[in-house]
Amino acid sequence: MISPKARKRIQVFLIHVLLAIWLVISVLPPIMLLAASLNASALFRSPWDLLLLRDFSIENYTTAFVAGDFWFFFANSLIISTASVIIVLVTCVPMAYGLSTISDRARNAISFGILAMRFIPYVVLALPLFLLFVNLGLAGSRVGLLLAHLAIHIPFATWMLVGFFDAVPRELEESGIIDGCNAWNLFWDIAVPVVRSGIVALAILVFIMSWNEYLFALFLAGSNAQPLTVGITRFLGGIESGAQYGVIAAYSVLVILPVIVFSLVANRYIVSGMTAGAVKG
Amino acid sequence: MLVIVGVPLALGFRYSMHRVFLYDFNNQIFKGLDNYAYALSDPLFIKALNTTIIFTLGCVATGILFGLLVAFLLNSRKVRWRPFWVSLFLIPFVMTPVVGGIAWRFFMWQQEFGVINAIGGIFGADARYWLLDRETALFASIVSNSWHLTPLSILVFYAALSTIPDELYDASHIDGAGPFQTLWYVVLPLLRPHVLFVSVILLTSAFREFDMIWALTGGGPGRSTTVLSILAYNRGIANQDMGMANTIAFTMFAIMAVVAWIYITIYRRMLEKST
Amino acid sequence: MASLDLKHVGKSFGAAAVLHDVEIEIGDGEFVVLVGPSGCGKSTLLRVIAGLEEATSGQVLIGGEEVNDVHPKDRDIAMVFQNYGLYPHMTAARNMGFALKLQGTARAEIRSKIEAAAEILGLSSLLDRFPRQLSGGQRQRVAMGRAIVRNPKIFLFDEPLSNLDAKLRVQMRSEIRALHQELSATTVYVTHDQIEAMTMADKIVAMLDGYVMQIGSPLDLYDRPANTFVASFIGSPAMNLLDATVVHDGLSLPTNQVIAVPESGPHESHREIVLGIRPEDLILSDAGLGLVVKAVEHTGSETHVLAGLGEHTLTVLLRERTSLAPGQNIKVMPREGRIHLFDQQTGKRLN
Repeated sequence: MISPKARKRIQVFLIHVLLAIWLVISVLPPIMLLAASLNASALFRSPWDLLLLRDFSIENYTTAFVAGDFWFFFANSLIISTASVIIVLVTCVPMAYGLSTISDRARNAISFGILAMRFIPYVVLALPLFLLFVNLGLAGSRVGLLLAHLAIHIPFATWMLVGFFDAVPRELEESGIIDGCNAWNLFWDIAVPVVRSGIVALAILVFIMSWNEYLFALFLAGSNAQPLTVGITRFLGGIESGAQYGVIAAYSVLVILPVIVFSLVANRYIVSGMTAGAVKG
Repeated sequence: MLVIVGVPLALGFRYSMHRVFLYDFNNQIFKGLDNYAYALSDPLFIKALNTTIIFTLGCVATGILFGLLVAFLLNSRKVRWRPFWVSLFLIPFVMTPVVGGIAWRFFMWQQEFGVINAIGGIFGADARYWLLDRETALFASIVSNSWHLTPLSILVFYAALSTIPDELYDASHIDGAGPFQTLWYVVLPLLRPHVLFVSVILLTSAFREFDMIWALTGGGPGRSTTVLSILAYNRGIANQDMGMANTIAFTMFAIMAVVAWIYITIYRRMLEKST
Repeated sequence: MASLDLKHVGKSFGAAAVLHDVEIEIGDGEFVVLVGPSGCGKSTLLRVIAGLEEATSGQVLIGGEEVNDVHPKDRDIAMVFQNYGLYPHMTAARNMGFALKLQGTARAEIRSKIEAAAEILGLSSLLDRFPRQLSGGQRQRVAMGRAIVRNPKIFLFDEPLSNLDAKLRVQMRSEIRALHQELSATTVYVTHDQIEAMTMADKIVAMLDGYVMQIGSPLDLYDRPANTFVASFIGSPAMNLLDATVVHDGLSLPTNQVIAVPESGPHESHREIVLGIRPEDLILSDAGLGLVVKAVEHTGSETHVLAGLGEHTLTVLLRERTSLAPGQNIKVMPREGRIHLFDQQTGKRLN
């Protein structure tokens, strides 16, 4: 017979084992990328060899930078993602604040529209935008791609921020009014600082979503505005013609590095944003 | 915002009723609903629709199941290092889906040197050509995409679980409920709205999924993983048949509209019940 | 119904001990109140009795049988929680019947038990409502109904009234008392409110920092507190406690005023003690301790005079109205035989 206490301890141990298994499942694909990228030749090697770095080398990275035209794609990704964040913050924060102070009925209508956005398959937007941008001369420009990103981000961001602003206690605003705040002070000195961590969460999520975006880029980026996601798939096209697994892995690692770093450093914000808005990147 | 969403929608709708070829763009012919009729009688479209539905339901079911499971584990008493687990469980979700597809394609599913076959080999399973086999490619795509989506469901369920007061667990303990009875009668009913929420998010995401499948299989082998998004892309860009591409996209839109309507109905009913 | 005995019960969470050698005997049908400030271990003790926490040492006996390793559901107890612990997705009736349903009781029987309990609690018309559709007091009753339908040996209450407003609290107090009289089940009731303890208990267990400080009837604790903690915790306004030194003709107070010593008590000179006098045991007189009035509070039925003795403040409770004003000098005498003496180091009662 096992005592109840021992049974409990075994149970707790098993839970941790299961969590560890899930952890391995979660991180194995990126770990494999990292391992493969650090071996000179990733082809024809068992995963264990790769993980043990039997054939350690960082040559893949130098190749990826040069052959993969990395910095060109990187610049596009960075510009589009950063611009998305800035524009979303500048437009959505005041907009959401305004919405959170207006009547419930208007709000419901808007949040319904925003909810409906979630159901639109992106390809429905991407196809006509492609034709539209050709006509407008925006095809292949960063501006066009940025606009498409904003179409997705703005409704989502507004919805999320309205939720944050709604949670600001009314007493804070009322005491602000008594202390002599004008409308601008109420917004900038009271409401915004209170929801600051929400805004940070949103900014990070928007950046990640833009960074990871692929479908719009494929349709709209032409050849001048291609971000890293397009860059790597183009690189992939060469795989049959002998491109190295290791180089692809190195390139992949470089692509995901910023978002992985974000998720490790700022996961608290990401989690709060995801559970508040529950997004799809 | 209305412009940036409304204009493409209107344009897309118009194209979906026309014969529009990229190489012959100025020669558009009104076809009315003929495009839709053609699509619905096209075996390729029907096949893609089927594939999309299987893919979507597979991802939703897997995501909810594992999401609940891991969230329960995380929320059990005496679990240590919770922030550590959470931060790492997040990675599949934030990782660029295209790169996720690449990682799974070249290092997980890969027939000769992939992790899956290597682990299977330990247990004596035969190596399979997961992504190159019509029989398994869709399954593998579902697994990979669920891997990407499950963190969302884990986090939402975990957050929901942590809002259930300890007192309720105590009460059900005193009422004589065992762990499974507590789960069935107390915890799961309380999670119902969250399950609905998560399933809608997973459903909409999986239904429009493109990146992951594109990176994994490109829609192949054969057309075994060609979902509607990929079919629309192929038609519009590869075949330059923008009219048909838009028709397919709009059919997706219509399906989602029905789903949205069902969701809102259920949601309303749930709200009514709770007031 | 059954007796409940706690023998040398200790509980620690890791290195932190929250219960020390708790020893309580509760007779069949007794209403016992565990009272103490927050963090004194009273709720933990209740949870140990319920089986929600395991005792680290000692024994819990219900009806004379050790239940340390018995699952809560088999201890034949019912518990009413601070936040009621009602399942939000079940109606009042289903909340009340959940335990019976789990036991596999026949549906008709469950129904009749629920209805009987609802009858007692005046809930009959509310059975199909969900908790969120009920007021605080109604939820409280449902939580009690849930306990009643199980017809347990022992009722456990964990601060059940702390979420109610003052008026409702007084009403529920007497309802719970009446219910106890009707069911005469052994009851353990946890509260931090000494008035609840005084008004409801057959027997009070006063606790501090995981130790039982005193067990006795409400008036025992009031009239003969065993230590300075019980003396100051029980009674409102609280007992006046002053450091004093024994001198040959009485007690010397910090201001060097001397008052007469009671018949029994410590007589060795220079002993440092604590003198306790309840506010109602101080009477205005022509001679005695000289105090300076600081504030006068009227409750309507009585008057509290806060008066300074050096840097200490004493409360004097008067039954009649007074025209005393701040700044005035008064003289008070302790009522004969109503002073309490405690050891300054241990806080234990001396007389």
